[in-house]
Amino acid sequence: MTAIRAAAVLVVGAILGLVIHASGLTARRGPAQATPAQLRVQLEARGHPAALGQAVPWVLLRDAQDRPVRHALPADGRPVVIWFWSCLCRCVRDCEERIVSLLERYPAERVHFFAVASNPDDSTHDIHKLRMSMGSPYVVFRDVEGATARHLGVDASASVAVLDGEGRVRYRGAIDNDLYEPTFSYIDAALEAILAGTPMKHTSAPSYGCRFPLPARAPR
Amino acid sequence: MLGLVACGEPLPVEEVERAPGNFLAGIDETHPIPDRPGFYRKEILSRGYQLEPWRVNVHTEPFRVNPFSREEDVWVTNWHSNTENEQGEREPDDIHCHAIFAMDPVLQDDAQDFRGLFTDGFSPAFTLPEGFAVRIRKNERMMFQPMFNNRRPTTRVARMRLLVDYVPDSKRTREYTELRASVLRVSKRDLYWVEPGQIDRRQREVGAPFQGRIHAIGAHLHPYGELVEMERIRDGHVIASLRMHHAKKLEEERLDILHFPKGLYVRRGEMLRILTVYNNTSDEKIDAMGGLYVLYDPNGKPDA
Repeated sequence: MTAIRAAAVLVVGAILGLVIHASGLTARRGPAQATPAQLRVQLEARGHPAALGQAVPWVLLRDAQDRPVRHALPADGRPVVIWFWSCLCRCVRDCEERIVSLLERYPAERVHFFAVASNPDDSTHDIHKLRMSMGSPYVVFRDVEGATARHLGVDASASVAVLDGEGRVRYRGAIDNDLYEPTFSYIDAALEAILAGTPMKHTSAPSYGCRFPLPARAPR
Repeated sequence: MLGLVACGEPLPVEEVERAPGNFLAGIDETHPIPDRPGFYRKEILSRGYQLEPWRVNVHTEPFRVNPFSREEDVWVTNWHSNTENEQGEREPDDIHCHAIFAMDPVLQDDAQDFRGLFTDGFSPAFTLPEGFAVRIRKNERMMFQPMFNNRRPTTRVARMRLLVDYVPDSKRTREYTELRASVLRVSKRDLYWVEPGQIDRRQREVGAPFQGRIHAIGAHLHPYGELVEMERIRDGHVIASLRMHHAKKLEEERLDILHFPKGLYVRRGEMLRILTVYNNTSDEKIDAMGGLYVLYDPNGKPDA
């Protein structure tokens, strides 16, 4: 029975993931077209993280053809959680159960959720394989050399950035206070505060995930 | 349904590669070793990582290095590691926690069996016994994950440099026995703490996750560490005892590396006791880790 249930979760997860993935990566005419040169300037500017409270209308992610493309973030009144994922960081696997539980507490009608793999060594194939093995019920997009992580001020995998319904960055850091035995959920606290319109008690927390490297110096 | 919509034109890939912040930077080069005919040295320098004050056991996002060879397997006989600051100056070894250089992610919270190398801040040079080597397959892209400590009140930037000496299969002049690796830890958590003035003896019983003959053992300790031991529980035989050799300067302290040319046979599932001793002579709480890095021949047979 357990095996059948696990298989069902995998199949549903796979179908859901593919549908969402396809939807997210459908190239459409966006509200603000930019030339490659303009995008490059924006990419470089993303070495500086957005301030807390600053609106982030779009993030740079790879499309189905592996090309870096701007993706508009939803700003429809629902908070957005961006989970920084990695095939190579074991903390991501350790947190998977907590993330699935979070999605059950905050379904798509209440909160947008997607994951971003910032490590360029995570291939589409590796991501798909790990998602299938864990039965992850969410889509994973590929970052562009860590540009989205840097722009959102996230310095490690197994961390989140939480945006409010107007697309403003409200929290970034670990999902809770301990990888092994968490006693406090920062992400629950952040989402509850945003949904209730109350002040945030925690706007950041140190991550226990795998640290991203500092940006290299600009080439001459 | 997630309302994530692509907008605008794709950015040319070459523009991304030129942009600052690229993950792919760092050094990944190979040179012949002049005084070792047939041998090469692969030099890997990680990107810089920012370490906040008093943050220890900082894991970094693993990255894959270029293959050692695209044409043939290679045999690794020794390696050397150290940490540097942003300007390329040597940093004390206590900033170097440890590093994993392996084919796949190594889940360090339980006994693991893998193929690869391990580094420790107090045993920067690791040489295998004569005739033994870690084999790296052609076209394999090994994964490198440096880990750092910052025990100072200021933010620091650290990079890790790894030098790996190897001989390509076509240039070797002798046979090598291929070794696999395992990490055995004294605690389920990565890190634990020892109170000031306390001698902390900690042990954990674990079933051997491998079977074969052990030919080399290294250890991992933090400052104020004294000893790591591995004991076979059924007869109380201490298989290995590795000590920290203290020095006036922390960066000069060294941890034993043991060689067993004939090998010590261990059966899979055999119960082992890992023991770690810390002597915190300071007046502050200290961070601690303890474990063993075991290199073994999976084809090694039991003693006759």
